[in-house]
Amino acid sequence: MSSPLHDETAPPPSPVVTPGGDGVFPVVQVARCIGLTVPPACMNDVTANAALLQGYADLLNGFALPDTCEPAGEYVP
Amino acid sequence: MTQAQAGTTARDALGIAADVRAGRRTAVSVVTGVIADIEARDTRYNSVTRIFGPAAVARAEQLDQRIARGEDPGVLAGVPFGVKDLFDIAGEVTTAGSIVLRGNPPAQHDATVVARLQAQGAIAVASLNMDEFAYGFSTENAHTGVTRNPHDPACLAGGSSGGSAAAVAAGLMPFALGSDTNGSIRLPAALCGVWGLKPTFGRVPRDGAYPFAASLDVVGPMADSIGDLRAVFEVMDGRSLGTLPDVASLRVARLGGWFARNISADFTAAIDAVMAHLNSTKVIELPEAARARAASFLITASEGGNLHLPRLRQRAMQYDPATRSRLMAGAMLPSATLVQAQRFRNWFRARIHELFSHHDVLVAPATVGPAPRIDQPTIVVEGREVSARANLGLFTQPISLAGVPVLSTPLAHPSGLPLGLQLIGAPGAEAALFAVAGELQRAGLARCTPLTTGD
Repeated sequence: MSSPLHDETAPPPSPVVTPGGDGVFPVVQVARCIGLTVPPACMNDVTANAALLQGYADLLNGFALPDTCEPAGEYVP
Repeated sequence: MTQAQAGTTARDALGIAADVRAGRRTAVSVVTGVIADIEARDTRYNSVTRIFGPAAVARAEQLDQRIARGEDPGVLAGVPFGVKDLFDIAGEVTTAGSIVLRGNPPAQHDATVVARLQAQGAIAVASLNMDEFAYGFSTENAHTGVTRNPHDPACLAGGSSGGSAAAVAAGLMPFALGSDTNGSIRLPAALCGVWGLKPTFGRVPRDGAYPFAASLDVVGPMADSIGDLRAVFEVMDGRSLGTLPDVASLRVARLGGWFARNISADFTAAIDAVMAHLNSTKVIELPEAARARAASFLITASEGGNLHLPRLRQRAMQYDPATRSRLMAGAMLPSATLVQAQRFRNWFRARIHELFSHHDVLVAPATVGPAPRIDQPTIVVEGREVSARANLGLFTQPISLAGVPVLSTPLAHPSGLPLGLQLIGAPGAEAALFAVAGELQRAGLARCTPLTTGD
């Protein structure tokens, strides 16, 4: 079940700060898509957090799930 | 029955209730005493954000009148308690540790769990500090300040329910309510040396508790004794746990791997002693703990970010800077990431259920070590110094994803700042956790020692 990226020893991902928000994660463009304006004073922190989350997403996406594995939804009609 | 015979004290919840019910103390004297104590001592800890003085005293007066009329005042008669700043209290604005919501109208009703507790005679006296919108592990709040650890005010109390843990540890009140999404009850309970319970996800009603990440949020109590924790939980839960299982019948194992790294030799030895007392040498692995933590992190960020997105568009600069940047980044997570995390959660759920088909209680550390200093808020993970605010949940977040109940247990140890264990149970199996925790308290291996007015 584990992928080549399986690594239980993985430390927390390191945030990658990319001033201006146009590096690893396209903060400005994605923010625009959801109607959000990131104030210039916040850009570095938001970019660092986006990069941190991307690290966690990469860790998770490195794990192969069976197609039959459904999302853990809470909605019950 | 004397208090000693009942295993209670004059300061713990069950002891106070026994005194008030028997007429040895009035509820008014208890509540006014607690308020005076908060005003005198909390300047050191900053655990309290608001005191509900007039309402609390009025409720205490009504309770004393009920007792005078011979009515049953409830099992928690006259017991003062505090609530994390995200619980609705009728007549108060629920601010969730922020100035962003301060323009909202006051709550019309108490949160369901608050109402259940007050129906049994408990009296809400104060709201308690937290990380803004519960997004953090340190209770460092740009609006309300940092909450200090009563065992060493130079150190963090942990978070996000840090005010709740600190208020109990300081001896200001016998119990308090918190919420736990990624560890926000278990972490501050461990770092402040108090008992805490994260109930099974979905078991205790959250109505009237301001949300953070609905897929993971639970509400629960923190208390100064395992007896108080159980009594409060039973009221919150609306039912009795009944007779607890015999500890000797429970299959206990220790979590290794992810949960055995990054902790000190002293901490390891303390867990060794607990396992020896429980007659268990079994060590098992929780599969994919790192990814479980990642999934919990991502679900939280995405749901929290989405919840706040309308306000972030309009008035982002009102937010605590640390919270704002996390919420903005979370709001921007792609749907593919969130769906993957929720699919992984189902995979992980199956693994957890497999583990609990062979075990009843799993034991793990709650943190990598004691409370970090406020002026150096970092911890060491895999040899790297990382932010405490973001990483204190190393051992709690994987368990959050599973939604299973966890009882945060304060280890009794001879010196130093508090350390805590997680006792982890199968879904709905809180009774097993209380059985083990009670045994550890009885054996002197777990203990909460709140400060007193002289400390």
